[in-house]
Order: sequence, then C-alpha cells, then structure tokens
Amino acid sequence: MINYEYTEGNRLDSPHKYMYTPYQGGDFLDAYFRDRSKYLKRFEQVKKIEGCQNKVDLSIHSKAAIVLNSFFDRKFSDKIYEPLKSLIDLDGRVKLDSQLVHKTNIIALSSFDISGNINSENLLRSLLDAQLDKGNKSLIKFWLDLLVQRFEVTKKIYESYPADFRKGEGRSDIVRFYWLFALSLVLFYCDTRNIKYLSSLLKVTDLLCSLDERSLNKNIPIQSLSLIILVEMLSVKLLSKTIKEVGFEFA
Amino acid sequence: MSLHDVAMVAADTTRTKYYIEELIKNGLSPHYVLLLVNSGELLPGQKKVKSENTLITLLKDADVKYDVAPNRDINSEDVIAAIAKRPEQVFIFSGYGGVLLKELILDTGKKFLHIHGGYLPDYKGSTTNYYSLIDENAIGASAIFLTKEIDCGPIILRKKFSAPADRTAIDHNSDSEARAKVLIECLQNYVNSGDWEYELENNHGGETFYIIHPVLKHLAILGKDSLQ
Repeated sequence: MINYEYTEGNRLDSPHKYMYTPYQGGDFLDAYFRDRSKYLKRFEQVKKIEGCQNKVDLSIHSKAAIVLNSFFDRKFSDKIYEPLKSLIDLDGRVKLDSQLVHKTNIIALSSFDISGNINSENLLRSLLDAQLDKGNKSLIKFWLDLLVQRFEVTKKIYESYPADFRKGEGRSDIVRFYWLFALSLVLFYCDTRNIKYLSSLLKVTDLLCSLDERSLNKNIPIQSLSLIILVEMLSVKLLSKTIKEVGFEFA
Repeated sequence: MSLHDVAMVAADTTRTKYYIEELIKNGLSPHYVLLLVNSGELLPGQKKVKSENTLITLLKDADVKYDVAPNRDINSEDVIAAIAKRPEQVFIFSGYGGVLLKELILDTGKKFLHIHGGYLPDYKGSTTNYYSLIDENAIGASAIFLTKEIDCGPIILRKKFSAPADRTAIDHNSDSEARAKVLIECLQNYVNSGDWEYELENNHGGETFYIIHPVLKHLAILGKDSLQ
C-alpha cells in the first residue's frame, strides 16, 4: 500500500519541495484520499476538547462556511451533507454577530500599498473580508498571488513582508496564518476554478495536517480546517470524475 | 551546416540530449556548445548519472565544437566569462531544472534563446504542461529570449500539441519533444528570414504557475480528456 508522504513529519520544520515527484499510479490518489480522511477523523476527535475560542476566527469560519456551502449545494450529492452540516454549523450554534465581530479592525484591501511593509495578519484578514463580501476580484487576485508566490518559494508565511513583497521577516511558525491562507485559497479556487490555487491549497493543507492536532485545535477553529479539507477532497474528486482509477467515494 | 552566430549553453539533461539530437538531425547544429559539467550527484532534471557522457559523444560525432565549462553554475563568474568572450550573439539555453539566469549573465549583451515548456503568455512558471493537460488536454512550448522577468521575454514562436499518448513520461520525454520541435522551427524560421521575428513581442499578463502538487500531477497523467 502506498504511503502519502507529504503529510509525514512536521512540514513547517521540513518543508517538501514537490520537485519531480514520482508517478505512482491510481493507488497514489487512493493514498491521498485515505490520508485526508484520517485527518478528518482525528480532527473530529480533537474537536471534543475545548479549542480555539477566538471570536474573530470563529466568525470568519462561520461566514466562510456559508459561502462554501453554496459550492457544495451546486456540485455535490447528498452523501456529503451530514458531515458537512456539523462543520458548517447550519443550525447557527455559533451565535456571533458575524458581521460585527468579523469586521473588527479590518483594513480595506485597497488601502494596502506594496511599496510599504505588509503585515501578514492584516493582509490575510482583509483578503478574506474582501472575498467573503464579494470584493474587487482583481485586487483580491493581486494580493493573493503575492502570498502564493512567497509561499511557493519558501513554503512559509512570514509575519511581515517588506516593500515590494520581498523576502519575509519575523516568525514563520504562526499556524493561524496558514489556516487563514488556506481559507483564502479554497474560497478563491471555488470562485475561479483556477487549478493553480488548488495546487497551492493542497500544499498548505499538507503542511497543516502534518502538525500536532492538539496544537492546531488551540490555535485555529479545527472545524474550519476540516471544512477546508472536505472542499479540497471534493474538488479533487470532481476533477477525477472521468478517471476510472479513482475509486474513492464519500460515505 | 551549422548556425554561425548561434551557440548553446547546455546542462547534462535528457532535454539537452533531445535538443542536440534534433539540431544535428535537422542540419541546425550550433556553432559552439558550452557544456555545464556534472560533478556526479543527481541534479533536478536528470534521470540518472551517466558513466559516459552521451552529449560529448553526440557533439564529437557531429563535429560540433564544444568546451566543458569550469563548473555547472551558469551564474558563476567563470561560466559568465566563458560565455561573454564567445563571438556568437545568441545562445540556446538548456539548463538544469529550476535554474534561472541572474542579472550578471543577462547583462553580458548575449541573447539567450529559451524554450519554455508551456504556451505563453497563458502558462508561465513551472510544470505548466500538467496544468494545461487538466485545463484543455493539451501541452505547449514557446520560444522566447530570456529577460529579467521570468517567462516574460518576447515570444518568437509558440505552439500547442495534443496530449501525449504516454503521459507518465512528460517530464523527461513529451515536454522535451514539444520544446525541441519549437526550437527547430524557430531556428528554421531564423535561417529562412535571416532575422529573429517575433510572434508576440508583448509577453505580459497570463498566469504564473508553481510546481504542481502531486495529486494534480496524477490527475493530469491519468486523465484522458480535459478535466475542467
């Protein structure tokens, strides 16, 4: 049985370069689906322990979940509805004033200036705000592409980027940034169906899955990561619908 | 026949072998080849380390003048000096995977003819033929002169090709074959017209792609049609 090696170890400490990856046939795709399913189960378990209570992050998740739900509605069968319901919180358990909490201290995306220093947290929150509010798509793409370029080169998201979005500075181990980035990627992929963003998303998800799940649960809304993984898996499944070697079915 | 004002700087890769074989076969041998040496370990773009250098054998058999560069780093001072002193103005560039030409070598005044694996300007960056297989069940190759901005130089010639029958060998065969075809046609056009004519001088815009994730690479290989 083929191992899915890309989530092995800690991919923050030992990033994978993904260069000249070997072709392993249809079994490799089965290994991918098995591996992601394993993490979904683990996150389901760890969710029972009290985790991230950050209201801003929970509200981002709630809002993103509603947007992503429409992606599911259009494209996928009823089979996925049950696991999805628990992640999306359709019954409104997170009774936050999403708009108010989410909007706290958000800088308009149009206010960012590439000739100055860019704080990653501010940029990621502004990006998500613009994406969730159907903001200017070319502006969203401009800033997301800069983050994608930096991530693809280093496999890191740094605390800040100096003028012209050059080499990142500060910490690169803030798990929350990788989650916000993954959420931005999944939303953009669902909106544009541009495979480039699914490719980067798969790498960020590999990295997040490779981290200790208890630490993840403390730092990010773990149900949001589960939702991202589910959308990612469904996107891959959708792309593979004509490939007979892909036998994975959601159950 | 050889192209008197066209040289080549080439890494020891399967792609270079394709290029040289096709150039010789089509009577378009470069006037001179600078070979970037291999110190023994396996490098990106190499399938295996050869006990006998087949590139040298090919060049010797075809009577093409060549030198082995002092090292394999195209951006090193020694290699730049070796290129700068050559009389040829245009160098066909066939480097190791992922190696980019830095400012110093681009400032030598030489032109570097690069065949990008992908249809420009739509598919810039890395592993783009896997992306285009998923998007449109086709691969591409584009001849450009390198500039400081990656994959943004003027396009001399670009072509799309049907998906290869064997998609498992894209990295080492189909991609190189497509690029070699564009290289040959590009040089033939140059021989016929006596000048480098551009199909699209403004190569801005398009999308920049990064190394494809192995899950998507597998979908591109296993797919028999566009998957979008």
